Amino acid sequence: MLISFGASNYLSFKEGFEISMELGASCSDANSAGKRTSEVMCIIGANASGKTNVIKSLTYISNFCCNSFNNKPEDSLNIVSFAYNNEPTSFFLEFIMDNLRYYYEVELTNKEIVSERLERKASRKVAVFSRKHNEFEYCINEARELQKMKLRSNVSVISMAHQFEIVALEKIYAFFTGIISNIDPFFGEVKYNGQTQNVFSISKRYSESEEALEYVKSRLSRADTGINDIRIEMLKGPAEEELYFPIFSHATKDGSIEIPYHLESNGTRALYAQLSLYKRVLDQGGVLVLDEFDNNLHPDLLDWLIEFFLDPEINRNSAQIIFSTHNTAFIDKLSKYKIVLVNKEENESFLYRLDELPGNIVRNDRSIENLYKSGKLGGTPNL
Amino acid sequence: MSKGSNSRKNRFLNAFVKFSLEDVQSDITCRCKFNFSYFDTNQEYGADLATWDEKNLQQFYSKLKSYSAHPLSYWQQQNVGSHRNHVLEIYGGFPKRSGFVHPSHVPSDVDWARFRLDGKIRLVGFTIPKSYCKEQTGFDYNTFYIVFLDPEHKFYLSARG
Repeated sequence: MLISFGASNYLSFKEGFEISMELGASCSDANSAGKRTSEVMCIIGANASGKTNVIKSLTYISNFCCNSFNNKPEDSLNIVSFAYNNEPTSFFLEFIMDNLRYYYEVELTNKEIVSERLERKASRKVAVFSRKHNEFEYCINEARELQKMKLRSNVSVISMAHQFEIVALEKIYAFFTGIISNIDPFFGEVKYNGQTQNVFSISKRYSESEEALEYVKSRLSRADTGINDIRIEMLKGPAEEELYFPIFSHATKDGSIEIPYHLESNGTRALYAQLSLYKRVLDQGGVLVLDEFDNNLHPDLLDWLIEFFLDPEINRNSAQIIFSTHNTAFIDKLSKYKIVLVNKEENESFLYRLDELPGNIVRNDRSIENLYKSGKLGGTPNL
Repeated sequence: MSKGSNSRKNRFLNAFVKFSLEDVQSDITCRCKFNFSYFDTNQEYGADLATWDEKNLQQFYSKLKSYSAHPLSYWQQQNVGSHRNHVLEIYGGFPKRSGFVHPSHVPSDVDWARFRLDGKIRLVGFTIPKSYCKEQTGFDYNTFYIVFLDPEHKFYLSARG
């Protein structure tokens, strides 16, 4: 489970930010359901405040730890520091796996990894590995094979360890693959919102998994889309490539009609695309990271999707969702412990969780949303 | 300094006011209010704020600010002068001996009252009788409705003159 994450000198964050998923001692059982770590975190703020940059940070670090082995030696790390300065950008995450608490941090520039370190704690904190530039400073005995390998300036130790099947770090790699995002790791464009260009790859995945297809069928049916069946078809493209696409069946009183993807509503298309992500994280206990969660979806549907994570009967693997939205109704629905406001001053972003505000202006027995909308909590546009 | 620290966040949170309306230290519901909408300048002994000099206005403002920090009941208990007078006296009915007359725009059943300002100067007005101030009536017992500025102490003329 993700415990906290943050970054500094990254995009609009000149200094640092940190988002904690821990609920803290002051969080009542009514808000925590007896849990110490939240399954849900909602990020709210004005346009251009930096919400997407928070989502990008998790997306970037997941992609870096999983896929940087694919980088060619001359490839850039595609990191964007604040105002393109030359100082390193930092990322850090804390997470728990198998009752061990891990702390990972990395400092990097566009050209190289400056440092990378993983620690774990059971009864006491110990380093698993630590590198400076392309040299190991330390490597725990169980992963000592790592030290035989030549570090590359744009490849994470975790990604490299996976390629060389270093068992000691395989669970760490699995944690980072479990961070699933709906945005591009470098450009930040939102995917899975029903755009036609993504339908082929998404449909291919559904065609390969009967279970996933049944899941999306049942969920789309439950979401009152009028769909009672989905069939995945395949055509050959101009270069003989296989192009997979769905055909949706709708029941009418005169029988079933079939509707192609491009004639479905934007909401249905978005759900069709996104439900595959929900299934993956709910099955594996990962972290779903969604930018612009409310795009194309009715507020009631948003509540329904969040409930997947809050309902212990559905969320049996402690999956988590972190999302940005302009739907301020979540402020009251989720309580102050699960809402992060992103603010910007002089084009520098900073953020805080609502329970960090001093005093007791933010109480769960009256509308926090109204306080927010009237500009008393920050995080609203200065118009 | 932790990697997640942010001076702008710290400044924002430090500057955030740490008490709200419902906090213990917020006694806003106890503080009395002054209402000027019944102010009457048409009587022989009544003064008009518009003709007061700057010094008097400053003193007046300063007194109002001070009085409005507490409930009316508090000022009813505060002694002033040599005859066991209080800062605020609530008389009830309009005084039988007065240099003023009951203005026609003031309801008949108010409780007439006066605040002592400086020397002989009195601020005359009314409050709502307590019996009217039950929940849901909308009446507020803690508001002082100003009617006269009485610089010569002519509102309540005692038997001693």
